[in-house]
Amino acid sequence: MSVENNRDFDEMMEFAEMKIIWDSQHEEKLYAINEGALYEQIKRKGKSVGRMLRRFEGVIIGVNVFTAVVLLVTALLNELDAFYYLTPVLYLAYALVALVWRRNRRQQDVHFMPTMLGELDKAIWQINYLISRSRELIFIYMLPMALLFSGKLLYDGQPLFALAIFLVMGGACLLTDRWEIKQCYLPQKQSLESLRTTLTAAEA
Amino acid sequence: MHEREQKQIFDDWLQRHKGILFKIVRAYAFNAADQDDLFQEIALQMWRSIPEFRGESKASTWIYRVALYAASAWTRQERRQPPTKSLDAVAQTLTMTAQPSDPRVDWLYEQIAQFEPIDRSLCLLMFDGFSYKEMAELLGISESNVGVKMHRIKQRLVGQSRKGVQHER
Repeated sequence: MSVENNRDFDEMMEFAEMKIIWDSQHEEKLYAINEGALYEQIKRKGKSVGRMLRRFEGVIIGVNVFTAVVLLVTALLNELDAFYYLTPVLYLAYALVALVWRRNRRQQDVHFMPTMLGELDKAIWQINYLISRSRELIFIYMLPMALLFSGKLLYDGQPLFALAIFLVMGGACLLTDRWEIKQCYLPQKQSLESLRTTLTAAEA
Repeated sequence: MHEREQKQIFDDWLQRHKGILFKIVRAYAFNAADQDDLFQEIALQMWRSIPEFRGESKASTWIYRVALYAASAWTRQERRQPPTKSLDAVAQTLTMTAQPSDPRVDWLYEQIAQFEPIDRSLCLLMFDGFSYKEMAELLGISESNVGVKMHRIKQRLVGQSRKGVQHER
């Protein structure tokens, strides 16, 4: 134990005793590890959050590109009107946005120090990332979709139905998004921030 | 990194540094099921950290950092959600093979358990011989901050020890 910072001699003696007691323990003999079971668990759970996030982003990009291609081919084969060419463009734009998000996240990921504070900062950054992505999705994904479909209905001469679709889709998405953030992300974020405050308290 | 190479490093770390893991498990979890759960979580984080290990610090310091962060995160989750029995509980990975024989060691663990997770980490590092500088580097805070926290921890431990002595008398 480093004792150079102990100011009180009595304390130091008591700590020296505590250290001797601490060093006398034989933890290695207290527990047995089932290495086979442990390795199985690791293999099962070993897919890291980062890997899952990368896969998730890949799926978003892939699905959007695939949908755009299918819609475009369908529109071309059936010689549909202009509206049917707008949706593939929108889906391709989403894929592009997802690519930009992924690039930004990867650039940011490497800037955290390999310390406990760095781990905390990274976890807080990831939560903030999820919150902002979740909020942005409403405006860049669901809102244009709702506008597009209600616009189509309006164009087809069904204004009330168009309004209803817009209100229901928009409202449901907004509420779900708020609920998700409040229930899933904010408690985690507050808990991480509280841990960070405890760690850095008294920091000059 | 190839999985076989990762497993070799993991097995080596587990063999050499299991004492660190056991101490952390005992300081953060207080019954067999929780200790097993926490041990699995720490082992998992240790496994994931292997490709990031560049050898810039000692393996023991790296493992301490990964394990302490995993234990703090596990404690937060346990507080948020009451533990539930899952399928994971079926495959037990950690078993207590002997009863702790020294009541003074038990007393130390009891005192450590009463600290907040961050202070618990500092306490373990202090008892395992880390200097303030090493603790500061490991946690990512300043040495003076470590000093302030350690002073409080020591005062509290000594106070508890004196209380115990007075109580016995």
